[in-house]
Amino acid sequence: MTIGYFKPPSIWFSFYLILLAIGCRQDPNLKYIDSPYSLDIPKGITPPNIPAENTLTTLRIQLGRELFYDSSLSLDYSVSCATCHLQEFAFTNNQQKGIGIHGIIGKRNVPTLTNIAYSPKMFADGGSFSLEAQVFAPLQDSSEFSLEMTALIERLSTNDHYRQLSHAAYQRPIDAFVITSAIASFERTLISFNSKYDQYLLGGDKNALNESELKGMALFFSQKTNCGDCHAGINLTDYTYQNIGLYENYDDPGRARITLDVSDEGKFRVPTLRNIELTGPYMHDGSINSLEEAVEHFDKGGRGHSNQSDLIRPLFLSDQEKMDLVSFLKSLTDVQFLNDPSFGGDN
Amino acid sequence: MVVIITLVFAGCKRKGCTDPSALNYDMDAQKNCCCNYTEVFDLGIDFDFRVSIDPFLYNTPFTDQTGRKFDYSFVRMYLSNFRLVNASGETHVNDTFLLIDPTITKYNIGKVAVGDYSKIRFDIGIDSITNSTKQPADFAQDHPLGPQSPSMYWAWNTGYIFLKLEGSVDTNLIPDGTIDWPYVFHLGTNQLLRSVELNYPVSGDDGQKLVLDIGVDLARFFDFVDLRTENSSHTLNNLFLAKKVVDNGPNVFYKK
Repeated sequence: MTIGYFKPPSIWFSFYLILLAIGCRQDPNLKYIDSPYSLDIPKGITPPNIPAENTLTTLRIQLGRELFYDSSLSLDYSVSCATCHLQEFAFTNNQQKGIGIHGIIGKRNVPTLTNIAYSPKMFADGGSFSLEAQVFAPLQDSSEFSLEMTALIERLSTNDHYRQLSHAAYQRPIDAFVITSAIASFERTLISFNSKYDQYLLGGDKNALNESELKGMALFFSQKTNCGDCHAGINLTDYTYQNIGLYENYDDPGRARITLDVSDEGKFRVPTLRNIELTGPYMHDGSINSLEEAVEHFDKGGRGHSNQSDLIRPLFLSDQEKMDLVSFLKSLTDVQFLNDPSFGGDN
Repeated sequence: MVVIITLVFAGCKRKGCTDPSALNYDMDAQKNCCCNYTEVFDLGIDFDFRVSIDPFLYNTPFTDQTGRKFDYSFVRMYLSNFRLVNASGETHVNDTFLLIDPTITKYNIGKVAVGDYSKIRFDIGIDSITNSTKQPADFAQDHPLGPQSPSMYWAWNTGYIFLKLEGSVDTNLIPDGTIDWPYVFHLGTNQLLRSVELNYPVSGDDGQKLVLDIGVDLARFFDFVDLRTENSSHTLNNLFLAKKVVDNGPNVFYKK
């Protein structure tokens, strides 16, 4: 009795291989395999805190990066996070203020995202307590993205790729937790420790800085200027709020907007100076156009606001000393950071 | 002989309650048995939303204490930290947060230990720890503290908006009945948390479902507020007015 139709083994084997090949090509899940991700922090530098409920994985970062560059986060699909946070300007926009939908000009200068993972609070006045929480602010603001989180969740849930990424990265459907956590994860990868200053200090390359930069560095950290008192530590900021006497009267209350404390009026977070060469215009309102002008402001000693820091006073710098300070500030530029394709969008 | 003894001991697992939430939880128990739980009753609230003596309605003119017409276009309020009080002290009810919408009258509070109580207390707003450390993405979408539309989270500042009152008012110096100007109150931040206490005898038995009848006279938020000129506060830009409104909070609620 014949059972079936017996074929020679070699033909069956080829048939099996063909089926396998077709199956693999059509497998949609290969690109949604996740793995833990560690930030590349130089030896001797403390890594930033990563919250336990949002540890870094490759897919979380990928989702966050895609959302960061996605203008469907804004009401009329016209702006994304990257509209104001452009990699070529160390994630600022080379303008005085941020610009949202309909070309609406925002209230403050766009802060850099260089090493933002280290910042304990977000915004120049410290109004937000985490990168995750911060996402709500530009989203809801009618002069930025003008799209409520509930509406964004609906929008993104129709995208099959985001749905799959969300499940693979966070084991849950797209919701506020996934959106804010993913964007925060991507932002935490924006790490910069490869400037000439870093090569000199961390890398032990004594030739990394030229004479003017070295003199500028020494002057920066000296008691003659006290720049390094506030612009301290690995990110050249101590993350405190200071009034530098930019104005006698401030339009923008700064930290006082959050604390309602009169003694906080005109105080803004000390910004990191990393990549400062690329992140002008400067100050909370973008009112200072160049590093030379910025040095000039500190040399003059501020305009004498009642909350002005005692460290701000006339410095009596020579022209050469001013040039050296600017040279040093430029040595904080990390070209690798500005060009790293893993920080960019998909073209 | 040794084998028999071993087998006998191996078969005897310690019986006891293995549920940590039970009154008689036994951490050494290996076989779950006989758990006792606190006897509880279910508590809910049925709010009666009013504007003075009139039932609350959106986009309907009401008249304030000065004879001025105004209406409501949007109202939301967080209530939390519910406690029942008796001679022994306060009994907290769960971790309940309510987002009150005056078009919805019935809300569940949670389970309370059986007993006799004389008062209920709750806060208008959110406790400072939750308010300072949590944000909407930390909660499920259907949780009162999750993302809302319109949003009840400031975002540019830490924390939730405890109370939103929006509508329009007749701002003519001599009121002529024409509602012509919007008013908006977005009130929050830790310093604006307010407590409400109502004398309300409650006696609950095991397994009962009890509902409290509480009146809410929304108009009382505007006691001593001249809506003609005092019609906007986002809290930090007009803290004086914000405090004036939330300070009226305890008088808004009453036992029916």
